[in-house]
Amino acid sequence: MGIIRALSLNYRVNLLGLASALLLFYTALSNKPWWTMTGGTVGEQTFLAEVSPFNIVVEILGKPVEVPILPYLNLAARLSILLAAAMIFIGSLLAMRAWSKPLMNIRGLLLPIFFLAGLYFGLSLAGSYVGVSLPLAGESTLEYMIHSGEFKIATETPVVAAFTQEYWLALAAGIVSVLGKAVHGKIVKTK
Amino acid sequence: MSKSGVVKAVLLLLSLVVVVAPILYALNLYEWNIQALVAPSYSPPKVDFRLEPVGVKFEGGELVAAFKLTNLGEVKVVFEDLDAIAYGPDGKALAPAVLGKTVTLPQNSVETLDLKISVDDAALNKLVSYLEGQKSVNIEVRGEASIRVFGSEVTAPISVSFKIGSADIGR
Repeated sequence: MGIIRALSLNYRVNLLGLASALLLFYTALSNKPWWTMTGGTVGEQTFLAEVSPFNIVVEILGKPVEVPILPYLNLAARLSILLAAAMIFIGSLLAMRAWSKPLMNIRGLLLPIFFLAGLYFGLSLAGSYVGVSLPLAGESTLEYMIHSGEFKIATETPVVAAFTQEYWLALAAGIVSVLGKAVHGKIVKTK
Repeated sequence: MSKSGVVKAVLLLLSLVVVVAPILYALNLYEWNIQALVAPSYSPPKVDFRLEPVGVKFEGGELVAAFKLTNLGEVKVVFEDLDAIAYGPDGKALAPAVLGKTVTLPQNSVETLDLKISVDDAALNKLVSYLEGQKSVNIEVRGEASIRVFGSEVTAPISVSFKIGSADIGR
């Protein structure tokens, strides 16, 4: 129980919860992408995708691809995580109260997991629709054939995909929030 | 209801509101037209260029056909390579044709593109025979062009033609 006592400043505040809340606030307020994919060579991009649950930018040949509902879904995700962070923050400050337990949540961990699953599903769907294999991470060359009447136009595009530091930070925030919730249960039980 | 129960109920309600409210707002904005809300919109940039023959000359055993290349599109196009064959007016292959040099064509610009056709004695004799009794004949160049557009390598079929006269061979 020594560790729990230390992590809660003698069962008063949930420090792990506070840390996860601050990380989640940063994650939700940041517009930086969690995952990027660029096609083309340096300085000349055939396409660009910068994706996070809070902001999605897709450009093909320098022109944006827009889906009207996406900004609203991004807003819903942002508000949801801000609410989750606020709940954890308040719950962590009021750790000595029994009713603070429901405030601790693991939404911060679920989002990076669902993001990864959604990305995998989205890339598989887009890949099968276009007939190419889009990487989740790493480098590859997209070979695509355009049939125009009797002609065939072959295109070759180098592609680089990667998870950014923001994604790993969000995942870390989620893991810390789970630890915070576990510690919170012990703090409330002790009280 | 206990304090914990009240907190749980309030949180559930708030969580539901923050997710549902933006979606309801979007639906209301698009007058509940779900198709309009989820349909992606994209206007690709115009890719268009025009090739016009401007002249023919003999240079170091090669027939050089110059073309005025106009980029009418919205993207920069780089002509990097050409793997083509020049055909005579009878449709028979005359000689291989290559690109004189890489041509970089920014949007709304005009450049000269040179096609170099290696003419050996046999091809030259063929050309002379085509021109017998003719003022000029049409030579068609067909093949594949390697073009770079926005960092992608594109191999596309190309077909251009130009006229050649006796005077051009004599030069």
